[in-house]
Amino acid sequence: MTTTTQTPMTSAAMQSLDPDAVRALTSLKAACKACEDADNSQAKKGAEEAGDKYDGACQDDAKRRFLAQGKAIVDDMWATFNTLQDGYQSSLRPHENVGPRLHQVYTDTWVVVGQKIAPIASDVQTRGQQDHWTGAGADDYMKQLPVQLAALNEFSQYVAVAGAGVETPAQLQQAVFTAFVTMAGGAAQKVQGYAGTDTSDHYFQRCAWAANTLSQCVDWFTNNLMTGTGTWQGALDDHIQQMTSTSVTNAAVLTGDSWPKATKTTDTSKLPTGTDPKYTVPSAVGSVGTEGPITDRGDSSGVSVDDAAPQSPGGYA
Amino acid sequence: MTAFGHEERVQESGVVGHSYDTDDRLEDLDIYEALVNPHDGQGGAQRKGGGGAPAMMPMGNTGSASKASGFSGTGGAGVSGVSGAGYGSAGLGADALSGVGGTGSAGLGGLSSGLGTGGLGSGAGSSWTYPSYGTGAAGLPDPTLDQPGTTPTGGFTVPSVGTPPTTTVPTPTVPGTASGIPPIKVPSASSPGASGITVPSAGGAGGAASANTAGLGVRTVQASLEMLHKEAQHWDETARDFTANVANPVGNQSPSSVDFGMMTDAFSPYNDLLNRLKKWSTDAGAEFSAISDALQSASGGYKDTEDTNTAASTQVQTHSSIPV
Repeated sequence: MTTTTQTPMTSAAMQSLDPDAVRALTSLKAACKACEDADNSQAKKGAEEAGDKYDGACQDDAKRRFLAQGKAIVDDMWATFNTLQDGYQSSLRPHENVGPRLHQVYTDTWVVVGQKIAPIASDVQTRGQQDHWTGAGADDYMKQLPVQLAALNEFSQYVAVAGAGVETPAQLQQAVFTAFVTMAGGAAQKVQGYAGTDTSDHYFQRCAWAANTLSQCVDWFTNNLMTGTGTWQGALDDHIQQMTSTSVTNAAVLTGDSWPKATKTTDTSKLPTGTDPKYTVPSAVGSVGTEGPITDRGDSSGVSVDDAAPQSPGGYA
Repeated sequence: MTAFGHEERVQESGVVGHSYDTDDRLEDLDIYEALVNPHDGQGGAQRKGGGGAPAMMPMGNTGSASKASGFSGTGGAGVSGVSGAGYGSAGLGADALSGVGGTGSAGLGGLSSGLGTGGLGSGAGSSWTYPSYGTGAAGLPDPTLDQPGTTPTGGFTVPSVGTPPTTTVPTPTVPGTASGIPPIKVPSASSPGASGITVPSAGGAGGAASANTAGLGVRTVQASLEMLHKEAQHWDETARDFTANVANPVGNQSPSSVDFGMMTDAFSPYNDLLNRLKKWSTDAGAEFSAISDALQSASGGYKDTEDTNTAASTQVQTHSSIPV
């Protein structure tokens, strides 16, 4: 009897993606800083324009209002960035070694154990062809060999399932990091693009765009990536469903969670003949990590000189 | 020792063999040794005397070949053992004995130089045949439970190697006397010039014996003591290999939910399976060891029975006279 269980992934080395995440965040921070610098540089002109536009006692107030509105946008951008960075630090980063360690259990234990069982099963199968002992006892002995072989095969299947039991979560956890890196890296590129964009007479526009993008990243990170909603939860549910399915919980040969005894009372007539795998890697596992938030720069128009106009009841012109 | 100089080997009495309920058959058929498996469903006790002692070698071939007369009538081709016949025929001037096995060619390697020692010897190719009740054997038993009627808890149930209950090994007595081995009725002469012992096959082919006993559901068993021992060793190595490379690594796993990070929900089903795998792997290692022990016990049982038979045949030889 030969049965197969689809094993999750190849056993390529898996490393912590924290350095990649940190790099992505660093790039994002640099991009935000570029936006801030560009906006501040542009804001000088806007402040002067505001001062020129509103004479008298209102002149200083107009400049202050103009700059204050710009600063609020910049601060919002940084606050959003910090939220994202803190979220990573506190919620995701602690799991940076989960994937690699689970994967190591998979490669160092379950893959190896599976490899060790194979020759044992093969050996038992070979013994079933012995002919140096015949007769009644030999017949009964030989009759037990298929049972032991079937038990080894099913055990081997369960070893593969156990391997999937750590490897699939490892892949999913790693995919969460991959997704974060992808998101942060993508946001960094976008924000960097904002920094080099000519915003004409829209001041602090770049930081406003960046803040909007970062806000979308934070929302997705908080509500999707960290909860699994719309991301990895479906694959995990599929994994758990398979791990708890009857094909796993109800052994065909290793019934009663016991290894079959090689005794006359052992029923040798009902050996499984099926080859249905006990576990199949959830298809969604491969796509987790490639997803990310669809971000845009939003519809903010930044700050204009007109926004610095006096708003008191007496009114400035 | 027969009048013809054949040395008689007897089975362990009280175990099987030529009991009162098979005498008639012996009358009609060649004498054979029957294997009664103490581990079959009925147990040896229900077989009126327990497991039978298999003939470890063609009976009648022990003792001094030099004293043999040409019983088989086939000349000095050697001593031909006869599977299941119980009484072998000793060839004239035999230097070698052709063993009786499934092929009849392997021969009892140890006999050419070890006549009378009863040893199967350890030589490669040693083989012996013995008939057994076809429904009797039940595999390899737990050696510690190798008693009729007991239910093995593990391991193969051993085909009865004739390991007799310790209390029932009798001292062979002269047939026809009060106790011990029931008188063996020897068929009337069917071999020319012989003692009246029917020899199913003078060529040492076990197949002949099988044919003669087929009607009783008796079948010939052939085993190599050495190979049986090797088989036991093989399983022992398997047990060790499995324990070292499978059971121990699996047993060393002790995960916690923290190890699964954000995938905590995956921990429980994994841990459940891991615990099952731990038990299975531990059980498997123990089972493979039990199989090894059972096979080892079986090979030892064969040897012990052989030794017992040898001793018994010596006594018969001393007392002489199975009536013929």
